[in-house]
Amino acid sequence: MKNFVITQKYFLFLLVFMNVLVKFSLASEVEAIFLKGNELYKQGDYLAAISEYEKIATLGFESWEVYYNLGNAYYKDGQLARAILNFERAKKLNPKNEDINFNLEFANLSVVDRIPQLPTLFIFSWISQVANVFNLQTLGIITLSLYLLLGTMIPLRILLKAKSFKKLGAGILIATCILLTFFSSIFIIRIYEAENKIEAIVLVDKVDVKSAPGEAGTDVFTLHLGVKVQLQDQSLNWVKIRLSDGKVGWMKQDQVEKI
Amino acid sequence: MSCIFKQKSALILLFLLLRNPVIFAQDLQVSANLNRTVVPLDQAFELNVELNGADAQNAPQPALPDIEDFAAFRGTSSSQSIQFINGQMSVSKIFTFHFVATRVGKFQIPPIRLNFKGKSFTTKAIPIEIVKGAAAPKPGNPSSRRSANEPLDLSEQLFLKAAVNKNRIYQNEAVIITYKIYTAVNITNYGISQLPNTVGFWSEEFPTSNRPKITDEVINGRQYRVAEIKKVALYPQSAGVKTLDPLVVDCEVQLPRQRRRRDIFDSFFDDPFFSRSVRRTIRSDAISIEVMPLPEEGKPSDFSGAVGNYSLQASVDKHAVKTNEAITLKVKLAGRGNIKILPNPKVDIPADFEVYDPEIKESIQRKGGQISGSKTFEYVLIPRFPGKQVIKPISFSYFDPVKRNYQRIRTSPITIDVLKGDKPILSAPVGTSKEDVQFIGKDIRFIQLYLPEFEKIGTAFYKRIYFFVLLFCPVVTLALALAYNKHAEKLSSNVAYARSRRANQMALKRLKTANKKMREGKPGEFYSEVSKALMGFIGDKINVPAAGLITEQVDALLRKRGIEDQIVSRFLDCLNTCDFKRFAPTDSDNGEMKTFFNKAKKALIDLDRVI
Repeated sequence: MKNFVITQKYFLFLLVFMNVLVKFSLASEVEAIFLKGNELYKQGDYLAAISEYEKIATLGFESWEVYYNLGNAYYKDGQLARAILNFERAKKLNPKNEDINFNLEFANLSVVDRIPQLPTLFIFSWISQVANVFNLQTLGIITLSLYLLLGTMIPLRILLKAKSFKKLGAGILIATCILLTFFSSIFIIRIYEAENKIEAIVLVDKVDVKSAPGEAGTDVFTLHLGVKVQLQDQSLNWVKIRLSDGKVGWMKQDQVEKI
Repeated sequence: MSCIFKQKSALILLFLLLRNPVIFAQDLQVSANLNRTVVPLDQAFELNVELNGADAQNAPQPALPDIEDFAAFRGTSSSQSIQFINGQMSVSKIFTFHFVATRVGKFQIPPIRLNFKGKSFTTKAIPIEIVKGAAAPKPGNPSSRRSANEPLDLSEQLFLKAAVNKNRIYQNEAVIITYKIYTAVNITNYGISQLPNTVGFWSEEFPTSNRPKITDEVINGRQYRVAEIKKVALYPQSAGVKTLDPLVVDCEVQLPRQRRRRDIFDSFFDDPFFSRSVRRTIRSDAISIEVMPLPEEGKPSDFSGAVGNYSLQASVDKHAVKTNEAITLKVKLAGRGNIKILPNPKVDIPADFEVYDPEIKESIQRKGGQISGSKTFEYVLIPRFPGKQVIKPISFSYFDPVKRNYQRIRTSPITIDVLKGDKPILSAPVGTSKEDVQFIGKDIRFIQLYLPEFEKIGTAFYKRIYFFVLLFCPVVTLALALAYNKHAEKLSSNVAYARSRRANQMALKRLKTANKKMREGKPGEFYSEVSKALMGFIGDKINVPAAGLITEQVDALLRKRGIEDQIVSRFLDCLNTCDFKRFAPTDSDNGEMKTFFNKAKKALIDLDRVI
């Protein structure tokens, strides 16, 4: 009986250890793949570099650098849509990176369709500017830490009744409250956006967007590769898309890929 | 000497410099002249208005002089010549007005006025004399002098007929009018002096040679030679009854010389040399044509006025093409009808093609008594994107006047395979201005070389359990803190609550002491401690001073609280035992004490449960 317990304990330990080991070796493998991809890119073998970078995602890892390099490789290989797709993915993880924004903008120059942005109220554009300084994860960490700070400070204030502490704590408490309100509202907006504003890139050279799902729908407008659309709805293998200028139509699901 | 010369040339230069702008601005001279000043009656003369100078080419046509009482207007023509001499441009433009003299006498052509650029120019008046008969005698034709004196009725022998192929036509349908001269005499020369006014018609003339083909025809027993002098197809532009003025032709007719003596040479010499010439003006009848409007019934929506009989073809020069390479789409409309006014058929070209305006070619055949031909539209298309492109069928509607209904013709769709060109589209960003590209740079930025921190791809962290646990943590701590705070407050403010909270603690403490006394073998103190524990517990719980409590009081207090009799009696039993053992010290062994201790403890626990 006792023996069995010991074996169980060892087994558990082994399991944890192996898990750590696997994770560690995987991470080093991913690093090797990344460096190999970089090497191939430098040699100009963009197709091989693409397949290396793509491996990282299949292993279950991501980082903005991978998406950025992948976008570069696709661009150099002449696959504009996939280049834009990966730049957009990189931007999602690192919204304010100058390199990403430069390359994305540059790649977008080759996109044929110019879709005018609907004008937004300055306050909304300002909020979105601020909201996009951090990526979602950083924003989450900031919000959560502020929340936890507040969550420890208030019970502490309740429990410790020393007057000096109360005086000192009030300022910090109010500051934390304000910051928390600010960050949490941005965080909620961003989560709402992430959950509801699903964007995708058109991957095919040319697509006639229909008025209804199915081939029977009449052509409403034509899109070309590289255009960013917003996915709104789905019906079988058709998706409803919305352009930034408000045009709405349906196209086949396999003609776009989510960012 | 040379000094003076220099001065002179400088002056000339100055003069030229000053003058030049004036020359270019308003340099126009207007003059008028007649091609002949003495004109025989019924003969044509020309009035030339000549404009000279740099501005002449922009000058408008001068107003027609009012000379209707002695001449009939026949038409206008103009010619222009531009010359460059020593870098100076000289333009001369001549407007020629054609007249026919209608009255004998001496007249004057009034000054002709021309308004141009706010200035008015006037010519001198020109005298003209219109004389009777042949004022310009033709040499070698001595008899012509007499011709005017002998009016000769030739209407039976010489007339002009206008034939219409049909009298009732549809709007835009062709009516073909043929003018024929019927003659039983010799005509040496003829000229059309007045054309019918064809306002409201689109006319298409059939070519006629200067020497028309002559056929023979017999009318009313008389043999005529017939010459077709003019054939025209007219397309009426609007519905209604239309009347065409007669055509007027001047003929020179040769009549055999009337001889006093008949000799054997008469017939032999019956040839132009010995005949005399007479001028005659002949007119055709006015023609009236009824033009029917096109029926509204069954009119296709894309109908745009074409009447006739057509066919439509569309073709491309190649069916497979690379991006950015041009292909030609040829759309050909051919058939009978007014080719010139055929509208462009609507061509639906996919948006991925860059389309240039079509090049339009016409070819018109005027043969076999009808106008036919074709109109070709050549579109240059440049595909910008690879893929399969389809040019939708092109359709064209027209009215067929023979079948009296509308027809619609359409081509079959054309499929073009567009392959990706050699150059990737990326190399030339479309739709950006040069400045933009220069500003942006020529290439994307280089890849990131440093090892990044890889994150596991998975569900968003804000959907994970730990996120919610962390969210809930402060709530729990806050609740705990609040509960503790409330408890502490009650402890400090409410004695009863504090005592009650302390009761178990105190009782336990005393029982512990009792246990200790039991093990030490001091029964008196043991019972005393147990009693204290029991009494203290009651006192604390009910918040009465334990010191003054007696068993009866306890009994009453507990019963008042509605506690079960069994529990109360057991508790009281323990108390009584304590009191008895405490104040009547008898030997009691350890076993007895242990049993009692357990009993008392049980009683306490039972009471604690219900109190």
